[in-house]
Amino acid sequence: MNKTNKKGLFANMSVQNKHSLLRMAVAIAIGLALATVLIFMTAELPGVALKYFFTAPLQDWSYFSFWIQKAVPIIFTGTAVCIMFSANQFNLGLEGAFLLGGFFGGALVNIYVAPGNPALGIPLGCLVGGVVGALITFIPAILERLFNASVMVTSLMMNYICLWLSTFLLFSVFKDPKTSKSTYSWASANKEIMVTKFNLDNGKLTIFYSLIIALIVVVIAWFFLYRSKTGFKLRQVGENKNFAKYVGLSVGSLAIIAQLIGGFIAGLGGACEIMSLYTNYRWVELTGFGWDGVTMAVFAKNNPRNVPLAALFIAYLRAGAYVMSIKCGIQVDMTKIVEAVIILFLLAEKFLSKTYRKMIIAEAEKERAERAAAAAKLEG
Amino acid sequence: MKILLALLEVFKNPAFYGSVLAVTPPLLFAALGCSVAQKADMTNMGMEGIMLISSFCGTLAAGYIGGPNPWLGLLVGVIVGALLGYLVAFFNLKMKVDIILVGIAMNLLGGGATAFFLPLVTPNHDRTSTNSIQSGILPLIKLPFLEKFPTLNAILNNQNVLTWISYIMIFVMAFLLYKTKLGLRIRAVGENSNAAESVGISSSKVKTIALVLSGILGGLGGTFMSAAYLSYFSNGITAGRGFIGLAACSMGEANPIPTALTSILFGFFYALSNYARTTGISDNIMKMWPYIATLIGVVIYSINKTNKEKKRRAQLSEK
Amino acid sequence: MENYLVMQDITRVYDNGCIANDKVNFSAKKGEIHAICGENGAGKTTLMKMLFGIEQPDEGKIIIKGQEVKLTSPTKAIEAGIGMVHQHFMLVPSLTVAENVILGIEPTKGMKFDMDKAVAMTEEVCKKYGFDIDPRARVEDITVGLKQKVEIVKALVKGCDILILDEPTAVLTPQETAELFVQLKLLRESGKTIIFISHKLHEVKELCDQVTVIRKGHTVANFSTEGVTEADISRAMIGVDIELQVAKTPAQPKENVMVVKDLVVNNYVGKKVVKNVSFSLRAGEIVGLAGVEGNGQREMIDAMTGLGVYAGGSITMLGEEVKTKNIKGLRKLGLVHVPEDRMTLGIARKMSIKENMVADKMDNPRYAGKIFMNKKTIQEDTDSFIKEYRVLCKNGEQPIFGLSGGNIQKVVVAREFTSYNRLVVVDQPTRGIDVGAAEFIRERLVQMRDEGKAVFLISADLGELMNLSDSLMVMHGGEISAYFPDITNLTEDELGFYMLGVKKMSDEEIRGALHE
Repeated sequence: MNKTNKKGLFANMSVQNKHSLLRMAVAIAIGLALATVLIFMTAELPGVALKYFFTAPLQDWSYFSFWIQKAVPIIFTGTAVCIMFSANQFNLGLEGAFLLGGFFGGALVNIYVAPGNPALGIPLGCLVGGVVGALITFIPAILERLFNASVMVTSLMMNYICLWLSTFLLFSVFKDPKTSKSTYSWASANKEIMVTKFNLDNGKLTIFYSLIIALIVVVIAWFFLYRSKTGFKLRQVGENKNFAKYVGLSVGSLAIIAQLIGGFIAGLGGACEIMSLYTNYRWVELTGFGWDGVTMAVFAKNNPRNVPLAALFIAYLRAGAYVMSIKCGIQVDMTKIVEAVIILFLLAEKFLSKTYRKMIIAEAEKERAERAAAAAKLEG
Repeated sequence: MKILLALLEVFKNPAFYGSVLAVTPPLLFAALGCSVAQKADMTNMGMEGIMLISSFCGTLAAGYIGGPNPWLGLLVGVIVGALLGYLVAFFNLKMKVDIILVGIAMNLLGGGATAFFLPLVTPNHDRTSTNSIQSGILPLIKLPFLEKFPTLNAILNNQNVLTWISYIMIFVMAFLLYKTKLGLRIRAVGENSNAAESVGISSSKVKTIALVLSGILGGLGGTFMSAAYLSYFSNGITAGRGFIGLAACSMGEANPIPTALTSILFGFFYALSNYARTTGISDNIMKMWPYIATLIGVVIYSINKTNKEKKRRAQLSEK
Repeated sequence: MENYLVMQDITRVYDNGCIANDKVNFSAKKGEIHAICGENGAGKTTLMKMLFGIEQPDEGKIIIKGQEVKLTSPTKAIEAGIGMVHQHFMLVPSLTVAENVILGIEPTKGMKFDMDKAVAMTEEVCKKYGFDIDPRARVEDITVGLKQKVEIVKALVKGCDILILDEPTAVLTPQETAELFVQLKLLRESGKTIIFISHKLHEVKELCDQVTVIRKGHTVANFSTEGVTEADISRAMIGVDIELQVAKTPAQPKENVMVVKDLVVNNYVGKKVVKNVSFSLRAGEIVGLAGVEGNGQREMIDAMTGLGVYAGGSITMLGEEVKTKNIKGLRKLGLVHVPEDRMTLGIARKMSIKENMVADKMDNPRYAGKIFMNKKTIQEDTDSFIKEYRVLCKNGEQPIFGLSGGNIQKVVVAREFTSYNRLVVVDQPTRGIDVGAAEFIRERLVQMRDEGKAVFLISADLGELMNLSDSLMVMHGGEISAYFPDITNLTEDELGFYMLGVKKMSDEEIRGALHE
């Protein structure tokens, strides 16, 4: 019974896909096993800690909300990286795009352009955030196009320029003198539009509307990459630049388009994050969500469709670790170790390569047997 | 105008130059480390993570075993750096993971592992820095004869021994890359690994050695943070210095001397941002400058390179 | 004299089942220059790779100085006294000549690499064999001719007695070639054995003592160059094996679709490789292009299809200058191109068959609107393409890299032939694919011609060329060396003479290729 089910699910899958699925399962298993070992090594009551780590987000509505909240920003940046990596563009400027998108779009628009007017402030904030983000990734992109300057290095520098620029603007221009390090606050009405809270079972379920925006972005990004002609062209550039040139595409412009879109999504994510979590701006260091985007893209194999799942997985680990850290005093940073290990094993081409060969051989033999059977039938 | 005058005041102050020299070493170690790897065509994106972990391990060794003995910390930091360099090489060369993504994973691991283990291994379960366990400071080099020259005295005297090592390291690396057999092989493998393989040189072996060297330099840089810049480890102590090293290396075309000069330029802006308060310029603006300078530098460098290439082509076709 | 090097019954089978060498025998004496001749893909390079330890034979023995050797790596081969100058230079551009020369056997002095010693070693060899190279010059700053000398010195410094040169003159100017020959003769006098791979027969005649001819992985002849003519070698090299028969009626050429006039193309190092070539391609005609690889065809086709640039002359397609158009513009005019290198240029490996088939069609309103692709039409059309072009696959969603070479080629052909076309450029359309697929593609080409398209067929398969072409050009040394408006009485020997530069037509006859 079980066997037939399995066969039904995997029957149409190629050996390559089966193997990559197996590798992913093993990599995740290794990561989780490592987490378990780390908890056993460090917790006073490992059983309790493990329970929090693995089940907390499902136990309580506030933890559940926390889980979802952790997933939202990395859905944005993950989708952004998917689009850029699909076109094989290693622009790492999403940290900066996310930050400045939040600062200009999320904060400044709501404070100065549309104060007390969430109906204008929120959509305009999203738009401005996206445009600012696109601008940030555009700079390294155009520098590479014009001068052949390494996009990886210049985009890394952009991140820090964005950080210090926003910090400078925050402290020297836009700081609320009554606070130590944040801007004036905008109307809490805005936040009520972005999030809604319900009291349920002694916990608070928080609905994040930024999640809905993020999911819309995922859907659009997927449609863009896999259904629109520009997305198709983009993937051709990423797959084989020479081929793209040969079929008549303008490779340089498409590379820039990919980076503009990536920056736009990250900036939009920053704006949404600021508007749904705070009522004033207070980021004084890089958020790390840009780097998380790379992790997401690796997990999602550059397909936006897989990003929400990947983000929920990582956010689940993080939320679990967070609860565990409060209850048992184990540092949340454990998840980063797990993430790093999963990335390495997920990408290691040589990992399980012997199993792969075995699978290929088995497949070939099965085909041969089938053919022989078919031939025998024909003769008979 | 007032700001300019204040800046002038800073530039006139010899202690400022002393502080430039004192803040540059971790950038320098990171940049030299990236450059030796880059010469073998391996972009060591994981420098930041390598520095963090070596700094952490160095501090623990210095504090626990040496009580505190910073020299022991230095030794352990360097060994850990070398091992991590090897790990990067292993995952790229043996397991075939993209070098950039190995680096990103290494940085994730660096930030995660140090923060995770910090409270577990410190006596008071410190959460942000090892307050309860100190690594000590490596000795300062006293040059009494300089006291007669107040300017030089302010710049050079009482610098940390590791600071001096970092500047000596520029020449060591230049020597290694350009004057030794290993350096020749590293450069050959980096530029045309087929050519190297065709004369019997194993390119993966040479690349591994280059990454281990890169890790050792990262270890020195990391230890500098916890045994010279500060006397303890704290979370994210390297604060992006590994990435700056990567940028300096890119701008200096991975050649030790230009790479070092770029690092010193960054150090200059770092020091300036520390002095910014006295001038009335926002220190945040000052902190932005090293990165803008790199951005511009990388562009100028790329333009030059393209032009040179064009010229060479033209010349060759004339012949 | 004893044979210095013997390669006995060497067999090498590649993973894809292709037999590159089938019991090849080769032997060379001390102090001789021995040529190995053969068409592209005959198995020369494979044989030499085995001699230099890059690949290992599946069967057979290699004997040097009477002793059997196992050459499992280049290092082993170098130790056995073998040196190789590869077609693509194995040099590190930013290093000096001396550093390149001693790479792998670096002299040291204490901790330091001993540059003076390296220079001295280089100078010693240069002096002994009469090379004039500055050991301290950077390799990136010297000419191609000098680079090749550096490669030879590099082998000599390691004490090689057998020197393999893989098509050494392909990249050289005539002056540089002459200089190289003087030096190679000097080396012969000092007792070196030189293996010279080439298809330039006049060079073989001029330089070599012996010549071994390989055809389709077999040794077919071994001559002393004294007693043979270029025509003899040519006959041994060129052979039409399979009698192909694709039925076709006589062509009815119409107007010019592409006109090439006085075309000059330089290669990436600035060497002139296409020299004032003129011809035209007419609707309703298959024009074949024969020639040994490396005689300017690659660069000419790149220029014609917009992939490369040209330095002089003009190429016009339907009256529009090709230079002023990008590839998209050319495709709009009706240019389609089946490239020689289908794996790196013709397909996106990880994309599906379907996606590969419509990759160039995104600006066609049938397949995509302003924003979205027209999924249903794409599905229906690719399904029918798969059926029509008989691509063997599970379905169109399958990634293309899982297909066999022949089926991949059918996908490329299907994509190109189903796009709007007036001129079809097909470069080695049937190389390395199964007989059935090849026959199918050939039939399609004739059908395209009958539909009034201009077809330009470049092929190393002479049987294919002679069977399909209505008229035929031969390219040699960057020029058209022959034009046959009618090929019914053309023999393969005759064709070989023009391909290998034994014969050349008069300018007047060649000018016939350009139809006014």
